[in-house]
Amino acid sequence: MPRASAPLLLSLVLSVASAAPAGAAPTVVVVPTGKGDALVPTATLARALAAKLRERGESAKVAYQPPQSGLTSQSSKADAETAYNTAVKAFEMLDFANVRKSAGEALGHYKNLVKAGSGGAGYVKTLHLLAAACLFDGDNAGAFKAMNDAVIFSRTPPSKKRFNPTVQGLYRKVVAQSRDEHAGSLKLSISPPAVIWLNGRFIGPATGTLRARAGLYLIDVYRPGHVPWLKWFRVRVDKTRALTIALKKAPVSGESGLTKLLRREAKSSPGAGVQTALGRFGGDEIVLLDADPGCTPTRCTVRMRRGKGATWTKSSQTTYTGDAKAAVDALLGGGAGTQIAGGFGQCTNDTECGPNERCIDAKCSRPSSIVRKWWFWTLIGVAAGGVAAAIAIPLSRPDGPVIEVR
Amino acid sequence: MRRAICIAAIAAWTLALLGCGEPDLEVRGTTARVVGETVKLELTQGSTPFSDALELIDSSGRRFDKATLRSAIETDRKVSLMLPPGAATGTGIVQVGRTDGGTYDVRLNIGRFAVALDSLGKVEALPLPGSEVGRTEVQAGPAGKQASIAPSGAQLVTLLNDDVKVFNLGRELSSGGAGLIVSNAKAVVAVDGGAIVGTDAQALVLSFKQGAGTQQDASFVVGNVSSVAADATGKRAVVLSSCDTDNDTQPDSDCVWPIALDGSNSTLGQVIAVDNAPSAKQIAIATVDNAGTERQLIVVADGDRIYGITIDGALAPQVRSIAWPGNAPNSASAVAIDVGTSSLGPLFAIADASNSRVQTVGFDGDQIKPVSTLPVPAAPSSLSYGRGARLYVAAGNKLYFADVGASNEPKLEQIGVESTQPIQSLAVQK
Repeated sequence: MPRASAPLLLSLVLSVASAAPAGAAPTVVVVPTGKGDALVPTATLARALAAKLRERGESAKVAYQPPQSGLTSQSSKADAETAYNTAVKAFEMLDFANVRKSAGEALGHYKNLVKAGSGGAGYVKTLHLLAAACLFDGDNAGAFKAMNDAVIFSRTPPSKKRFNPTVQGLYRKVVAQSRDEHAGSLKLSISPPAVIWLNGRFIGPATGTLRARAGLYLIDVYRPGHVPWLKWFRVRVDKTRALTIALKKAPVSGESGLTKLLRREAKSSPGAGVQTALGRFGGDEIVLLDADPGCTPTRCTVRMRRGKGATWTKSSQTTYTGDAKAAVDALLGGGAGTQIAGGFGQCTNDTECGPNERCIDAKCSRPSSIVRKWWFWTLIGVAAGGVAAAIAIPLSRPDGPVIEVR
Repeated sequence: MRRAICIAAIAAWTLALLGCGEPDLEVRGTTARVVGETVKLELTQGSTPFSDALELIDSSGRRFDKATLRSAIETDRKVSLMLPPGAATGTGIVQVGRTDGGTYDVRLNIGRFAVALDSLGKVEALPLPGSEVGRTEVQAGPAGKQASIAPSGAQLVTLLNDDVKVFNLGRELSSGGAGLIVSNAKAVVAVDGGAIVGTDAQALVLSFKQGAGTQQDASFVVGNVSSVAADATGKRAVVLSSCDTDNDTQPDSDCVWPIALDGSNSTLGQVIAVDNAPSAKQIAIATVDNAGTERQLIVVADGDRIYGITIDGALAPQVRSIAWPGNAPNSASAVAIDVGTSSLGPLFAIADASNSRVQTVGFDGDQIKPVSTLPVPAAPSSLSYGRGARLYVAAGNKLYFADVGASNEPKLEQIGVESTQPIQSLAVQK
């Protein structure tokens, strides 16, 4: 990268950051907070609601704070790092057989640590090392497999300090491969119904057959009041991996403190729980889906709260009877739901307001145009200056030094 | 807050405008090279010329100075250097000094070849893991006997029946334009700029002069030669032959002939008879520093014993021997020998085809000692050290690798580099 590019990049980032209020879509995090048996129905609706918001052009995702697994790792971090360092030394000596042996040992420890809730970074860097060793040892299939396992766990690229461009190229090749050309299936049978995470990513309620990129996964299955179930398994290309899971009852719900706090705030007003969730899940606005007592998988009264500040900007409720799409339409105001306006303003959406008015903070008001904002024109000036500079700099500065290697 | 962000953005743009004085270096040309290759760097664009500082940092972090790089500064915009043996395979950085005190950092991939010669005379240059150069092959002649790479890694010498041929070993294998027909040639070893060839009666010292072809600098009558070897300095060589020690015109002993190499002034040293049966097949030599004086360590692999010879200056050579650990090979099966360098000193490796193993030996003072025995999955046909004590063994068309200096119990593992034909002779760039 030319030396001038660093400040250029910095200013671009700053420009984008300052421009965000003008145009960038905020990310909406949809969190199910149903208690006990109500978690699965509210999680089903959360997934459908996020999909609907995305259809409408909003950026939306579903999140749920995993419970404390209560698992104690059978491996210590020190064991894992010792094995990893041994593998690194073997790698530096081009002793690829011992790299495989020690990296395999390190992976065993890291997988135990990941199950217990830590060690993700070590797991990924060990897979990078194993992939590089396989690659240099001529085992291209092994290299692809290890790099693919790393990529489906985390998109963190291999260290440029340790690995040469050949390994970086393998990483790019694996990342570029589409899920469809390297996919298998996962057939889940979970009793009673529960929510799942795959490699730490919240999927939601899952049953039946899912299409998944081939590779190694950690599945985490949870239902309040039951013992969390975790297992490493591999999905193979064009093969179906069946998992039959029978959850055991636990004496306590295992629900996280954050979920309990969000449920309390859904009944009152947004507070520390919402701010914590937005920070942890990476969102700008939150939608909570809670359920009334007596919720069953076939009939459940669901309450939605949406907001980001000190008050809920939208609130609605509906009865879910198995049709998630209809329930979501109702919650968003297009169906048979109840829009609750009490306590926070005189409107719930723009259609309740007059011409040229918008429903902002539950009140109909005429939005002031951004062209009247001082920062808008500042940004335009900065952007125009930047474009001019980007064109002028390469034209005006002297050509850089060139060395020919012969 | 917004006001602050905008001010910061304007400041960043200003920095962008002011900080654009010197763009980064652009490197053009082929950056995938090999050990022993001479690389020329020319500053074709840019206002700051080269200073006289030059250094190579290999991928292990080891630094090589100008002298080791045999650097030549042609002008203040042109330099050349040789990628030295011992440089780690992988990305290295050539730091060329600038007259303003900075450096131009040129990244090169330093590769390494294992050269395989098959019995049908085909030479294949096989890139070892970490190398970015391609694989090349040459049909050198109708039948292959032995391949040997000069210590610098720049030249490959092959013995094909009676034909000695020289190849330049750059990123591609190319004819060196030199060679010689040597009747009844038995063994060859490459030294920088030349070779020593053993025949059924003599040892010949050859040199390959640029533009002048091949020249025979010296010849010595030594009897029927079975093996020749030279040390890494290119100053000392040894010849193993069957010789007549009782003047009855019949060979009766294994004899070792030291040669001090100095072109046409090369001299043959006093013969060392190691036993009373002309049966030994292989010899190797290393020169070490012994309290400020040179010491030659020589290993001779025979059918029943392994001999260790030490020569300290003008003192009488010391000959010691050990029995082969485990089963002794039959005399014909000690197929190859080479010497590598480890933190413990030179490590000699001997391939034993009849027991499918490699035996390594070293010296403790003037006493030869077994170091390790490495099983090979198939009968080894040849072996060669690469950098340091990294040992490569050929069996069939497969290559096996072990770093015998890095572990007390080294183990040979197959690497994903294969020849198309069974390997007759293997040579790896140091």
